[in-house]
Amino acid sequence: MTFATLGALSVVRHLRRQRMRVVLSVTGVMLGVALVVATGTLATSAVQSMERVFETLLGPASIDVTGGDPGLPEELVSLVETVPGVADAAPVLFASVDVPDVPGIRLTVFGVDLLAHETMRRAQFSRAALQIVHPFDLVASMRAVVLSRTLASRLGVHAGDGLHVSTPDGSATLEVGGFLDGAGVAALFGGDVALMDLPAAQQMFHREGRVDVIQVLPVTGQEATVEPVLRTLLAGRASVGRAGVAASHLERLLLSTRVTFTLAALFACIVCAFLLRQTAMVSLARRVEEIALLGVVGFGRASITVTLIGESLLVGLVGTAAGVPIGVVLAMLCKDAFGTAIAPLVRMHIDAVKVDWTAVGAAVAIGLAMPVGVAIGPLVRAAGASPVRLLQRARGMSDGRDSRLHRVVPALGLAAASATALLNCPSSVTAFSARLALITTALVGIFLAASWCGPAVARTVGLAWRRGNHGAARAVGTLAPLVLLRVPADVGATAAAIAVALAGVLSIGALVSSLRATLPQALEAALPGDFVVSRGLPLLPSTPPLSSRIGEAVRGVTGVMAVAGHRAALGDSRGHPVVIIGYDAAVSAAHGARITVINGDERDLLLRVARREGVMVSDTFSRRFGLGPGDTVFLSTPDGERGFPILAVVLDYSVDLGTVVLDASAYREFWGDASVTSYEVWAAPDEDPRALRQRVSERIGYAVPVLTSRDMRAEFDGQLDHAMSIAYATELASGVIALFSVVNFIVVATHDRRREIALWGAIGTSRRTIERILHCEACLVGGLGGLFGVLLGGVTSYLVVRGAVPLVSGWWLEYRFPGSAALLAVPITIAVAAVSAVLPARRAARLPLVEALGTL
Amino acid sequence: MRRDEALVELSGVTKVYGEGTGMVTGLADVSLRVGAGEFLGIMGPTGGGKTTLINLIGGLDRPTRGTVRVADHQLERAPEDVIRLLRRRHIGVVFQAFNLLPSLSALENVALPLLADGLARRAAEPRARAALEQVHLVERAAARPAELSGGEQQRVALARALIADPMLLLADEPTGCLDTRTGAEMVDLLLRAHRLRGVTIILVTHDERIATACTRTVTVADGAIVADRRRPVGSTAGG
Repeated sequence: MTFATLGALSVVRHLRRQRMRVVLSVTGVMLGVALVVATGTLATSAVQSMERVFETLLGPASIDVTGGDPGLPEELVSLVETVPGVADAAPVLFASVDVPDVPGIRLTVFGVDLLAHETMRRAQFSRAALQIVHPFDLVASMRAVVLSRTLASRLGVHAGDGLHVSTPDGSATLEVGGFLDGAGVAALFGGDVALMDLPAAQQMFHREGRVDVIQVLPVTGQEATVEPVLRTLLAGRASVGRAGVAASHLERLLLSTRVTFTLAALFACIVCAFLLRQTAMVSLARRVEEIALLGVVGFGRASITVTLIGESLLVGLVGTAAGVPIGVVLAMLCKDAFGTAIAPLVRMHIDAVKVDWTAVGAAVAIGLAMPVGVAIGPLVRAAGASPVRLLQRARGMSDGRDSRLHRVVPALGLAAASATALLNCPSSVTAFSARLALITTALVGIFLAASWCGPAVARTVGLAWRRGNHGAARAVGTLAPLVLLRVPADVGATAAAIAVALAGVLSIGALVSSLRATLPQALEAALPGDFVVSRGLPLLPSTPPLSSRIGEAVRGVTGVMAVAGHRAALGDSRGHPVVIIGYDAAVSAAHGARITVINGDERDLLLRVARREGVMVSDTFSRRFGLGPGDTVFLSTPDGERGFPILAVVLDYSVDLGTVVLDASAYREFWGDASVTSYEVWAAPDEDPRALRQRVSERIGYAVPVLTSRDMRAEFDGQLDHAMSIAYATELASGVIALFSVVNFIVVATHDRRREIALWGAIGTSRRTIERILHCEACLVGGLGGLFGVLLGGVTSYLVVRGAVPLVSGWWLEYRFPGSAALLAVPITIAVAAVSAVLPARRAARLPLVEALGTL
Repeated sequence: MRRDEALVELSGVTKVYGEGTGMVTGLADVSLRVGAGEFLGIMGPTGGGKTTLINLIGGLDRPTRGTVRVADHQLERAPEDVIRLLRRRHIGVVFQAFNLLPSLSALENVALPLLADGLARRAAEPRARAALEQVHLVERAAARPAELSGGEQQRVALARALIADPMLLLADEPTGCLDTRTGAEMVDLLLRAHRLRGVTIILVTHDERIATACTRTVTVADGAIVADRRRPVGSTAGG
């Protein structure tokens, strides 16, 4: 009954009176919860979208057999068909083509055997859905294609029309032979899909004798027996599983991307926590008298404490309830950007958002725990404090001593410990979750240390100002800095909130700057040629390959001194996805390619790779698998598992899965794949590279981009911006939250000092001077937060680039601090604070004096 | 202002608070003239309108009806900035609850009106020190209000009110929070200020000692002036 009584008397009325503060608190919780839900939901949706793709493609088949690039030998289909209990085994080939006339469209082509496997095809493409104009032409022509109706409408093509596409051989014209309607396959990848007869697709994409998936339809009731037999039969050559085997690979692919976005959401949550704490402290300060009087009349400490905590919990409940659906909406709005972010790994289209209930659970826990957790200490202290002391505090008669001013030493200790732990993570900590926990804990420790330092910093600046500005200060210069001395804890908390948000922005900025400083240079060092012929960024497995004919055409151009063909493909090492690079080591070594060796003998390394003495592995691979020079890496090939001795560990930034680099000829031989991801071209010494580039483009019919290092850098920058767009958005949200904390501080600062501000008016201070004092206070707090943020951003950005990134992706980046952003940070935060103060200062300057002074 | 003109003149002043069923009349059709150099005490029962009257004279509030003139300024229609300028330079205010800024020292609190008037600290502090000397508190110049006793705080408040050498000093129950001895000291200081500076003092009081020291007392009850007594010429204040 006591709680209910207190709740009705105190909590509800207080919340109604403090509408703005409640709104701010709820908004803080809501934003943090929404970001966590959105991050988790996007990753889950990506995986589930891919699962749906495979389920849709799988049709009635319940088992699929898959392999990495360059696919499975087609003869495996016959082998699978011989397994008892297999009713049908249908091969499928995947490929992609660009439509040069319509930039931005990349068509996913499914090569299927249109004449066979009727049971499965009927289930996948019903008669109603598949509209073929001339069925015989479709299978007879090596260029006929069935487009989704959606795509055909977008392209404005009709049956019989030609469609120009960019293939591994360059430009080609496909003939539209029919349309695919409805949901299912036609809706995959946003409708950018096409069907071809399997042989035609194999020829067009130089995948003769290859397929990507074998869809297996077991005899009814025999699924359980067929799968293990297939697994044994195809061990080392292919993966066997239910639909979603490939999707589970995708989960691994997405891991580092997910971690990046999770860290961005973490920054935002920390800023929210600061806002909540500040709001709670302010709310508490305004109720000190009430709490004191409750104690005087006899309410117990437990009653008061539990009631106040219940109030925080109520705020958390409302914020969480609003944040979860907002997070889902956010995920819907960002799904395309997320798809772009993971494009370097795998091209996909998130067609529907599927709520990640684990992320929702985590968000709910954060949303409820945050408002209670940040306020529980001060609440318990206030509820247990002497009523007399509380009343003195309420009437501004406290002595100003604050134990929170003496936390600098423990704060510095905590910061040092957090930084040290993050930068020196033992190599024995291999579990990804453990590394993520370490990163999270270290960053939280740094921010906590910052918040502990905040009051002392504010007070120190205030004292220094007071001592140093003795003679010339007038009313504004005398009274405004007093805010640093009067409420150093509140100023410190607000400055810390701004600092954390700013640190997040600068950390993301440092990550981007460091990526820009490192990756393109590494790529240029590995690809020192004058230009590259490629359909995307070279040495990425998601870049569609080119045929050897392109290479022959390029080599035949006058003025070309050398051409190296490199292949990047997704492979498999004992069930783990890795990137395999078939690198033309001999040509590259002869023409100045530089590989940074981290571990191993770098003498004639490329030549030894060219002689097939072994392979190079990336630093990421080495950390992830615990292998180094002298060890053997096992890779799945079409002919089974094969071991390759490791010669050296090198820096490689193509993707963060882990890379194995072997000679291109070895790749061709063991994987039977003659396609090439990119051709690197060197001009003859007396050739003009620009003119040569033009001739090469002409020779290949302008069907394939010819990229200089500047083009590659621009492409990289564009992909990086897309990939980081979600992180940027998250940091923008953090900035907004930090802005709330400034507004919160100013509104409360003016309200809590009504009497003091009225006194200024009573002794004759003009309204204009009062406004200027309050503006100056806001600017001081904003400027302090900005400076603090730049310092803190320097620390956290270094920890992110040199601590978190290696742990997450294995990359070692050149650290670059975003100096220009940091320079702008302080004036921007001051400007924002000044603007935030306009209305509250105006209102405060116009207080009714008698009422505020309490002289009635 | 002419010699025979009152320094303060209220004509037909009414002040109403609230509206509807919550309406309260603080003052009803009050007229009052206070000459320069007077030491006026406003007495009366609690809730009678004493504080309302003094707030209107100080420009801290505006009348609902009627006029309030202080020196040459009609306060009921003067711009707020003009009224504040008046309070900076010509009107000092002392409150019952001292109303010092807790984060400023005694010296800085005293200097506040000069700082508000645009003076630099360098110029304001010597004058503030001199004001503290007048109230015998210069040795506590660096102390914060929390470190001062009630009497000391009120003396700082008085010094602040007098630093700009005002023509009018308003005090609302200046000894209300003080003990007998300290209150007596405060009365002495007020008398000193009145005698030496010639400042016109209008104060609200329940204190009989102050009432005796006043040259004139006005009793306010139920929003109206019910008595107005002048001390005979030749009799000494405080006796």
